[in-house]
Amino acid sequence: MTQESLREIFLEEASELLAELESGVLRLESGAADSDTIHAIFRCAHSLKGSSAMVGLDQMAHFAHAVEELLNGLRSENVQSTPRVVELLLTSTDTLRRMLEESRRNESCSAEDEHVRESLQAALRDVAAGCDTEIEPPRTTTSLAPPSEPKTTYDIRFRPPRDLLRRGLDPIHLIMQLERIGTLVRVSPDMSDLPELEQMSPEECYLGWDIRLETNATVEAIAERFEFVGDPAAISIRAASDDGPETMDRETRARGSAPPSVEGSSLRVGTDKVDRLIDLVGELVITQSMIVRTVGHFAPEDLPSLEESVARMDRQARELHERMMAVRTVPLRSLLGRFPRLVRDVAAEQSKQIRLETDGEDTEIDKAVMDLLADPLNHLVRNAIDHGIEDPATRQAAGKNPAGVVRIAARQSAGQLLIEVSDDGRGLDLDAILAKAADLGVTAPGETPSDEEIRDLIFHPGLSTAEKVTQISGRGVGMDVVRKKLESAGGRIAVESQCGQGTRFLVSLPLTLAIIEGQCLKAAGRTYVLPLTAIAESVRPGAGSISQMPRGAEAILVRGKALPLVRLADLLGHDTDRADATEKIAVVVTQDGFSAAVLVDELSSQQQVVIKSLNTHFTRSDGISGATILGDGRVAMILDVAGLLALARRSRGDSGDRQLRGRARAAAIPAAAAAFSAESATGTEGRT
Amino acid sequence: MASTVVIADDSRTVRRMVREALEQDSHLVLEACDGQDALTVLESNAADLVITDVNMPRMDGLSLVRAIRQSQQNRFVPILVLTTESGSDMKQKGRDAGATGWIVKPFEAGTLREVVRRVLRKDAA
Repeated sequence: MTQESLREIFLEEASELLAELESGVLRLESGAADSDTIHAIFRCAHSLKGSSAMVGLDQMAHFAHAVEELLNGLRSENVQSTPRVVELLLTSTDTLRRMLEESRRNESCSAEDEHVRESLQAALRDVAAGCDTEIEPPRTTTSLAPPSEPKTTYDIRFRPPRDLLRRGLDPIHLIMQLERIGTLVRVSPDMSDLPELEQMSPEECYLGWDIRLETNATVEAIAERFEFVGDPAAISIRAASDDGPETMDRETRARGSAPPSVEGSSLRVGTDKVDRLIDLVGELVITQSMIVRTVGHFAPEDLPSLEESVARMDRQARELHERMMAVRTVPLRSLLGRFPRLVRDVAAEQSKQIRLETDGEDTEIDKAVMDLLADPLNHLVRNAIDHGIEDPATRQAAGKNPAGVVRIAARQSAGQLLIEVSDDGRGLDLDAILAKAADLGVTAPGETPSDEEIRDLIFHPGLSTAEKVTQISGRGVGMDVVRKKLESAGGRIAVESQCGQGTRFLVSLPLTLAIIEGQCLKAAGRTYVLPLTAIAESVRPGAGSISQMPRGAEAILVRGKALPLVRLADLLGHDTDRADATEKIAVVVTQDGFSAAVLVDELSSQQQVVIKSLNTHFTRSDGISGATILGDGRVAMILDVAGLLALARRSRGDSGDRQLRGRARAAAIPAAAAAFSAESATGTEGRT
Repeated sequence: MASTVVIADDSRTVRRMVREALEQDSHLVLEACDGQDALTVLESNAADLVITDVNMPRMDGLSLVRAIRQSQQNRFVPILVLTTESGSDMKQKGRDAGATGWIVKPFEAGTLREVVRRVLRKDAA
């Protein structure tokens, strides 16, 4: 921000203030002024004083101060509104206006003018006599002592007043802030004033702290840090005596000197999270040593205690895992926080009135998920304002509140992050969408899709809900991109809409990208994992439900609907297995509005699996998104639903090529699995 | 981490100055032109800090501080009062109302950022 642009704003604001001041004074003259008017013109002068000082126009600030003093006299009825007062105020307004003009042109006023102004200022003061005329000198920034000075160690006794928290002050933050002027050697709490639990009010601050600070800052500079505490008795600072041994509380020190987070790949983690992790690892080590001891001198009667230890270790490992994952989580607030501004800007641009409601800002999600969510959410909100909410006149005509509501609500449910972006606008125009779809050839002429299917068409590439592209939403990013992006992260999006009532987008995403809920299944003797979110249902094919299609493709009838059937073993290049399909299971998977049934040998357990990336070891192969290590130590490939469906579509269209591709993959996948397990085996070896 | 700061001041210059200063620290600044407006802004936005002028139309700064301290949602939010008087009288009034701290006008962007850093909890850097 340049000083010039700030001055621009000031000049504009000051002219308005002067105009208001002038009209107020004129009303004062006509006798039509009530106390509200006087208050209002006082505020004008007051603001003018503050703003002009802010942009460095000290003369103007002084002059405005004199005017303010006179108006203050009027306000408190120490000064009567006489013709002389009005005259003086009007002349002053003119003078201020001239000063403003000079400032605009970067001129300085003549000596003669200056003299006139001084006498005018004096006159103002005379009239306002009795009031304090002192003008505050601009406050200078206190600078810290130069770093070259030798460091001193101070002992700080901090006993904050009880109401500290209620005034929005955080004592811990105050202490942590001392890190910016020195090193916190020790912080120990004084809990002597802590009452019994039942007498404790959570809003009172009962704790005190003794702090040892090593710094080259002066006592005054340290005291300044505690300025807002307000009570001088709350704080005492003295140089530490050197003889005291450094009773070092390592944990406190570690917490106090946590390095500031760096933007980019690093992550700022709350100390509470880290502390609990450290605790857990400690507990785990203890349990492990107990097991080692029991096993070392094992006697049959030790079995119950061994079992107990193993169960405890299991619990601890699970909790450790969960909390470790939570380290990567951040509250959604940091993402939602950008929307009020966005909504304001977009609404202003379109002359719409929008109220933004947000809910669930505290929902914690994986940072990677949040990064991924940013763009789609942005797009949904822009869309809601752009296409959803009508202009105020239209809304009023429809009997709605002229101000539209855009709502973003987030919550966690069953391991999923659910985000709802809704508006109370016009809703989707199904006829228009259908017409456009027919136009683009997306739907066949004469086809009559259901309302749900029509709504789903907005996710089709090329379709947009508005006829014309606006500056904001029309960036070529359509709903299809939103859907693709969400689905790439294992998410889903659905839309509900009521014509004239509004539109509601429902987004669900896994809370973390590193763990998925997986369905283990077997095909050709191998175990694979399919993301549970992609599975719509599983059925056992009835006799005759599978029919042969041209070019070797197959289809299966599920609930009266024909779906392409994919034999997993076949698709992934294992030996073609045409055994009786009724012995197998068809898993219906859906993505991108496209469904297919995947034929597998059997379904086994459902479990959370940790995704291990294959990218660093192998080239990407369609149909496989990663691998995981199962409970028994074996490696299983995680199936990529989008890739599978693409394979299914391709093989449907071109079955001749399928075998070939299948063979190539047949070589690649087992090799990958073998290499992966070999790699993880060495990893295990290295650890033990 | 970026914080949300609400600035309540009837002067556009002051609001702009606060916005520009705090945006340098990548805070999100929401503007309100008086106490009443600030309360409306606070209704739909979770603020990490409120900065308010004292003298404003409709609702003055001290009433705003009291209203926030009595609210359910934001009662613990830090509040800085912008004052033109540096006398302890004003500071005492501010404290009594429940203000966290104060900044004396006119102030420089650096001073503002420094004081904000001092009261914002998220920003421990």
